[in-house]
Amino acid sequence: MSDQPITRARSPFSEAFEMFRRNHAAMAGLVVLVAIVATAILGPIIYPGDPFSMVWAPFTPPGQDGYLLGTDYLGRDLLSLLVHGAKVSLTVGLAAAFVTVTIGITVGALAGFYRGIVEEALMRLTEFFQVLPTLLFSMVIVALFGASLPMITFAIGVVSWPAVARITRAEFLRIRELEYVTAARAGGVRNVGLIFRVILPNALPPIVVQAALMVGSAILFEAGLSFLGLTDPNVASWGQIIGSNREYILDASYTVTVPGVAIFITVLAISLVGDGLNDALNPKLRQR
Amino acid sequence: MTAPLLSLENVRVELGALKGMLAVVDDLSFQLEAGETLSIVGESGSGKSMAALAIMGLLPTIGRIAQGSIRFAGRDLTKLDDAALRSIRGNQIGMIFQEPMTSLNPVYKVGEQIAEVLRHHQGLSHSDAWARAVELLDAVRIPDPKRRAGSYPHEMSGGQRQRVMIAVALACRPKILIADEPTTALDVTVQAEIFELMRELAREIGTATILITHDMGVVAEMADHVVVMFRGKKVEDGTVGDVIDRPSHPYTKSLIAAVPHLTTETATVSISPTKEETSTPILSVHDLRVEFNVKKRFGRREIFTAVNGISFDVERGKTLALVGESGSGKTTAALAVARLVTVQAGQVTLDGTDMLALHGEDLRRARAKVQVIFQDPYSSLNPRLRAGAIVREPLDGLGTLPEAERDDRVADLFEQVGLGKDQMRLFPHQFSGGQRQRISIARALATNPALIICDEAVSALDVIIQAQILDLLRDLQKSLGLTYLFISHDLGVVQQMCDKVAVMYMGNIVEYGDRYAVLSTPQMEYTRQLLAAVPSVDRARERGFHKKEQDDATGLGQLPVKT
Repeated sequence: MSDQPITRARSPFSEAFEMFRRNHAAMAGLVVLVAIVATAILGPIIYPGDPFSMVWAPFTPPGQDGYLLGTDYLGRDLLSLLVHGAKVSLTVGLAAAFVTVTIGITVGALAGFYRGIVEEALMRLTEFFQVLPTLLFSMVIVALFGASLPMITFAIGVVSWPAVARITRAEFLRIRELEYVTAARAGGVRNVGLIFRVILPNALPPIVVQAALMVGSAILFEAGLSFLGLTDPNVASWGQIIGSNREYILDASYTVTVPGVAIFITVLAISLVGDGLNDALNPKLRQR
Repeated sequence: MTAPLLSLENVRVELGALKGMLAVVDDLSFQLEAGETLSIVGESGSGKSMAALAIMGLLPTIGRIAQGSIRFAGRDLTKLDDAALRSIRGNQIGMIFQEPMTSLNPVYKVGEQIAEVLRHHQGLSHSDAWARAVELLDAVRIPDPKRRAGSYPHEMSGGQRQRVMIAVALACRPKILIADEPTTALDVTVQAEIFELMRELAREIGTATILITHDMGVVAEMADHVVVMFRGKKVEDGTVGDVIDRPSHPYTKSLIAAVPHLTTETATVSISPTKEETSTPILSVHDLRVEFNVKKRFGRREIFTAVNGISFDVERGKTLALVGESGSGKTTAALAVARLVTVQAGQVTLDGTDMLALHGEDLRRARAKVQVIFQDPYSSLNPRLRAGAIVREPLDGLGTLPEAERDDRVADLFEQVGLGKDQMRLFPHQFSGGQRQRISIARALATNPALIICDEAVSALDVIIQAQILDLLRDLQKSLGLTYLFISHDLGVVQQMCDKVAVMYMGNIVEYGDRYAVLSTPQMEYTRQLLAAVPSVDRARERGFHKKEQDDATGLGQLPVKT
């Protein structure tokens, strides 16, 4: 009968991971992503020195004179820039996603849990941020408070949290009515406990997916701002490489293509992983 | 002998699982004669619904018919292509599903949904199909069918929606009607009306019915012929009288034994309220009133009174049942006692504490006195916590036990409810429905509450498991002296479990008293209706199982009875 002792405890997460492993596209994305992260971490060790130093004649095409990806308009090694830029782009992406998720979860959880006037106020605030033109708003922040990396990260986070807030609120609205929440309430769990220990862990799957995709879009966002020149000119990021070389796009197209491809591959890998997470964490797709 | 209308031979249905194919129906054979009602009985997961979907060619995409044949009107349905199946589906074989909330398309008017079937299968014009749809709504006894045809599904009650589904299914006068648990989501009085309707219409049209159910009472009242399924296999096949009175397979026997009987108690009144020392009630509810704001529009409030000033007492160690249909306010009343919904007025005294006077931290601590066992074993346990942590939750929140002793207490509780200590590490989804309900019970016991509210605690369980859980609840009551407030719509269960009964109707208690008085000699019309509507094996047996034949004066239903 069903009363056979099951000895191995399988958490919902271990099952989700098994689902994830079955998804070839997601696994491929994960492998690429791990490679990129490894490059970002190990890059400065492989390519020590300042990426901004001029090492060779400007506009050396890729492969010539020992420069695998060539040099840019100031004669800087593109490969070195790319490797050093990976760290910056990924850090900005992760940090911005973290800011986004932190604000989004706080606002969404409070709105979904307390309902009433709290929800009313927080959701109107969310809508206010949602209707602002995101790029313009972040440009204003960066222009006003200075183009440092933390400020760029903050600007990206501030304009992208409404999506996370809405998802979190929707999940809270659904889960707060479930019986195990009532049971926890009957068991004397305080409101803070209900929000963070009972409801939030169960609301996480869609938020995790959204956060993963958020990393990708934050990298794109950073690239966009850098392209417009709103970045720290002393820090190499992928967007900054494209931005500084954009005038030579017709003469030396590889100088913008190379970092562009890096952004493309990274964001694609993140999206694939995000999709894989979505499938793995979505119980409706988990047909067993 | 003519060929049967539908015959299944050695049908095997497989579903694709992560680890290979899983047979959900295995070697199933049965025959359906024209005009008869065949009932497929089994617990959840026995494959009865899959068998029905296989006949309709509506298996989920991960499923397939691996073997066997389904012969209908000289053709093997397993060999037909989609187009041919479509012309049979809805036309010659109609189907009614369990959930009336989701089986109608919410964006179309109900008349349109009936007319669509007619246009598609019978080529009627728009206006003809609409006129016919109105006739059909009339036939399924929807009042004012002309107007109601223009209604959307959400504007109708559950019972009316199921009537519409029947109208859709019967629109083309099919030869076979497959009804998959058609009344499980409905109240018992509505269920009785729906069955009456199905019976009449089936006779009128001459439709044979396959009725899928888990309720032996329904089988006894409706079926001519019964197929019992257990884990995908047919274990019993015979006329209703044979199967119920002379079951051959042990599973069928246990299934029938587990059915709660609603008997008229006469001499067996051992729990009569004689000169028993009238103990003071542990729970005393006076004039309890609960209201909800339905909606606010332009500052104008609409208020729905869920509980309208009810009073009752529960004595220590006894069980009071709150009985009623959905929307009668029974669950709201119970949750109000536990202060889990906002109460407008009244008095609730539990174990000497005025529950309604408590606020904030005092209220939180007082929750230790009253715990709840919920209905749905799937949503009442937090899927992210291990079973042990779930049971420990109230100990951490409310318990007076020192931290070090809590784990031992959890282990004891597991033992008390019949679970193993090694199961404390498992997650809820690794348990069966019955085991999950045991975890719920352990959690409710954790704080030694003065009162346990059982909110339809066994309604979602298969009948055999249900009997086991009821036994457990009774044993615990005896050994620990528990007091239950038992909410149920199932009068058979209520009769087994309770000392007193309060019948609720639209927020009011319409009848309140000792069990035998309320259930055997009901004073109120509503209680009588409720009792009469319960499908009962015993009543059907008294009638000789074939009510249909008895009131069938026209002789239309020539039923193959082999007794």
